[in-house]
Amino acid sequence: MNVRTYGFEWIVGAGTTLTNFLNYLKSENGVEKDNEILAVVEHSDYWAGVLITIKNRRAYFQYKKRGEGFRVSVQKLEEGTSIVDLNFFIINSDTGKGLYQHYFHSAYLSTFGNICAHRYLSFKTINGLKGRLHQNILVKPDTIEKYAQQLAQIKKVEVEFVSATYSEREFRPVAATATRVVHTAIFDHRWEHNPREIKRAVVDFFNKQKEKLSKAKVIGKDGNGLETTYRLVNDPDVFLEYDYEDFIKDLTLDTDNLEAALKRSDSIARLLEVAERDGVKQLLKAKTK
Amino acid sequence: MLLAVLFFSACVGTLVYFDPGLTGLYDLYSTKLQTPLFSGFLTIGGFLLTLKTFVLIKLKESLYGSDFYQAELKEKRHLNPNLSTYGPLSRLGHFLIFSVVGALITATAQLSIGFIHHKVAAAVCIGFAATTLLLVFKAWWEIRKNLSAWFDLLDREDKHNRATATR
Repeated sequence: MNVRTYGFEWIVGAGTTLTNFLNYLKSENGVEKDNEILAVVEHSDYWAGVLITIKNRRAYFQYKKRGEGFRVSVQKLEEGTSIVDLNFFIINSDTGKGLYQHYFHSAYLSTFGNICAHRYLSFKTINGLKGRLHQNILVKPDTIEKYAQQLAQIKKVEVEFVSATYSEREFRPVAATATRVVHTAIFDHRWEHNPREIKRAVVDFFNKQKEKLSKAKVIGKDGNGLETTYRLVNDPDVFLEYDYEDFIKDLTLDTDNLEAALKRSDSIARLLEVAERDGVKQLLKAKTK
Repeated sequence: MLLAVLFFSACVGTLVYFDPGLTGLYDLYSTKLQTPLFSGFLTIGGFLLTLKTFVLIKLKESLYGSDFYQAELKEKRHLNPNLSTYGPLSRLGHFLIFSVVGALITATAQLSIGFIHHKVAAAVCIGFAATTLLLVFKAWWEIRKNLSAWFDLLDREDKHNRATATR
């Protein structure tokens, strides 16, 4: 099983800053709400955090090979213990962009976004604010174009893209802040009878917009005639992938030293290392307007 | 360019249509506007020619050619590899030359087309003047924006140097 790292972006509502929200989350470090524990701490240029999801199971199945056959038995957990999933993340409080680790069956990026958006509701109520927390997925170039190329026939395309880019201006130097690009497009069904034209147009479109795409759904038929849907939101760009065994070793977190443990964590160190790579660093640190 | 042509056409069309002045547009133009427009735009053309060289060299040295701007540009190219270093400055230079040429053509027009005794000729000469004035204001505005960008860059560089010094 692999652990994958995805990019995301948070946008807070009007009247507050991301730093204020992160400080609010920090004030509730280690507090369990709806079987979830969130903890954040400031760490170099980023805020490091972890989402701990407590599973509601008191027992689990264990599989053991025995010679030619196998045995499945029930293993009960000790009183007061539970199985948990851990999802580490980092976020840049200036730009709102960050990286999130996920492995199979742990909280997906969209779930993480919903949990934090829920916490934002409390933060908003306490501070008398309006608006909500938006979460977008960050992508690297070439992703959706690759998906579109894989389809033999494209029937429908819905795209929304959010990203950052610097535009060259006509008579002035490049701006200090990046431009945030948001565009939603829905494919026209009139071209249903010309599949080759559809695919060419869609691939051309993605080729031109690839660096800006964050959410897209492409519905079509693969080479075997089976209807296939590619959803970028469920298949976002992976910034890093490594084995679960490397992730889980020597991992201990307790509320007495949650913040110190986060700072010492190998997972956080890995995320920070990815965040410093060329291309990723510029994407995460690009302030957008 | 297209905007300038459209503006020029709109000016000429409006002047010909309304034919202002008590005794007609041409009389108004030849008695009140022809000489001042000639000398004024000749002066503007000469002034822009000297300003252009000075501004371009100064902006190239202090803004586009500065190490700090180059370093920032290198970082930004990770998100958009097509960013050019001196593209905006080159285009600004061309626009300033275009404005100078516009001013000289306007001055010349007062002494050539301006002597054709017809309201259309007068409208064309005034149209040239209005359009060139627009170009000159646009050029000055872009120079102002570049100077603002230069000061912002100096501020960012200063903050960066102070932050680096305290580490």
